[in-house]
Amino acid sequence: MAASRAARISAALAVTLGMLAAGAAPAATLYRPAVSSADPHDLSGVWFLLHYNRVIPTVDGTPPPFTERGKLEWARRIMAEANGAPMSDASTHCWPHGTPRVMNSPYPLQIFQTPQQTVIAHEVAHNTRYIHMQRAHPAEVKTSFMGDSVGRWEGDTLVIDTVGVDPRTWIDEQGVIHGPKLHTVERIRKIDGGKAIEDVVTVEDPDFFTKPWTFRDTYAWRPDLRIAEYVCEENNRNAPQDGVTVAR
Amino acid sequence: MTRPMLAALAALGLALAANAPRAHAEPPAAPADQMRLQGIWQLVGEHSTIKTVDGRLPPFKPAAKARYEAAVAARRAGKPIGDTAQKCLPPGLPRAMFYPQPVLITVEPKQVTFLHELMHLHRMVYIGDALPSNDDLDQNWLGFSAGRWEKGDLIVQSRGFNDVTTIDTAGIPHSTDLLLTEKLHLADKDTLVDTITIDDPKTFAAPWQTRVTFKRLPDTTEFREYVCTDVNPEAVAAK
Repeated sequence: MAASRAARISAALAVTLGMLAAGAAPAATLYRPAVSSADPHDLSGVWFLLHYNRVIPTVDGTPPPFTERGKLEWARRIMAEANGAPMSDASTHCWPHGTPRVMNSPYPLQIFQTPQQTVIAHEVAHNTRYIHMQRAHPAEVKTSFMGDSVGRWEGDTLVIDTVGVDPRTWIDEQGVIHGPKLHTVERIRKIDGGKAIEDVVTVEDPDFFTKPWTFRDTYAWRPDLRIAEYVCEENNRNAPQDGVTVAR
Repeated sequence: MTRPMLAALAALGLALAANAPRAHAEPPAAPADQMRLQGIWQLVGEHSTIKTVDGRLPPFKPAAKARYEAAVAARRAGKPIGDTAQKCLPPGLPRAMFYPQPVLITVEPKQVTFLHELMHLHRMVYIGDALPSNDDLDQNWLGFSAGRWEKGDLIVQSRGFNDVTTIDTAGIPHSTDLLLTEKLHLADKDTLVDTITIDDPKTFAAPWQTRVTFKRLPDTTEFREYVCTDVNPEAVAAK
């Protein structure tokens, strides 16, 4: 009796350890296949940022190559926060977080693909990006929080070009900001056998940076998650703690 | 080696085998008759005051009738009450379906998604899910929606709503017991009819139905960025 109970506990522990070793949540309901589609152009499904960091590190781990103005604005924001009076960005007002900042949120996102559009529906403040797959930027781009995004496939990489982003959005949560000349190029592709995607983002804005710079985010395939309702305007019932969304 | 250790090793082996690379089965694409629902749709007509399919007011219980009449009178006096959408909070369901802004509907085997231009709301309908009881759901603005296909029609049931939204702009109230059953039917390839049964025994003497129609817009239609709190700063100040 005692031995068989011990066996059951050991077996359960081994299963749990095995799943944890593979990075999967134990005994989770799977809403989608355990691995994303084998088609590299099929990004549909739910993904979740790995390694959330409110300060976006460049790929070489250094601060972005600021112009004098960029550096000044960055320092102003860091000092304001240290003094207990942080400056607000678009997300503080429940406005859309902007591109590329919304891609660096500790909440899941779901990708939808139609022939015309790639749609990224974010849990955070139900931000939604529409990436136009069949056209170029218009000659006159109307400024919006998310900007005008156009996408094309280069091999197995989805390349997204974005301009026209409202300068009320920031690039990270600490104080890297941009102006109306912001231009980002994102290169999204599946990695790790479809268990993750990476987004390599090149940021260009001559008013704030001396040269283009790059950061890289990765997102895990999460067949065990659905996008929850997040309504910023009623305040946050579900704030992340230490980068982890609670109360799910 | 003891028996528990052997069992543990066997289980570990199984767990590792389950995570080993293996041939991947593609999920089947949704059938063609279901894919016809995918596209960009726009409400036909103006629907700020919702009536039953017979053109009458819903079968209110007395307290609900009094609330409705108070809301209508307040709006007529230019001082609407209880309209969450005026504060940039989601209008809830079914009201989100009664706006003129277009909706992109995507169809996947396990999920139909309504991506609204309105307030950039996204509403997920989970195909094949059983509808949970209200006890098992949070009270949300858009509730929880479970769907199933019946001969090419999408049947969606939704509950788990808060009780601060109204069913229409005029002010039809509801309780947290609200249960919606929608039948989304393609009358032809470009005409979508949503027949909505509204069941809420705390508010209405009987379930009742209303119906709205959507027309397909070209697939090249693009949404504007709809930011309620930016275009309507007074609503933010009133928060």
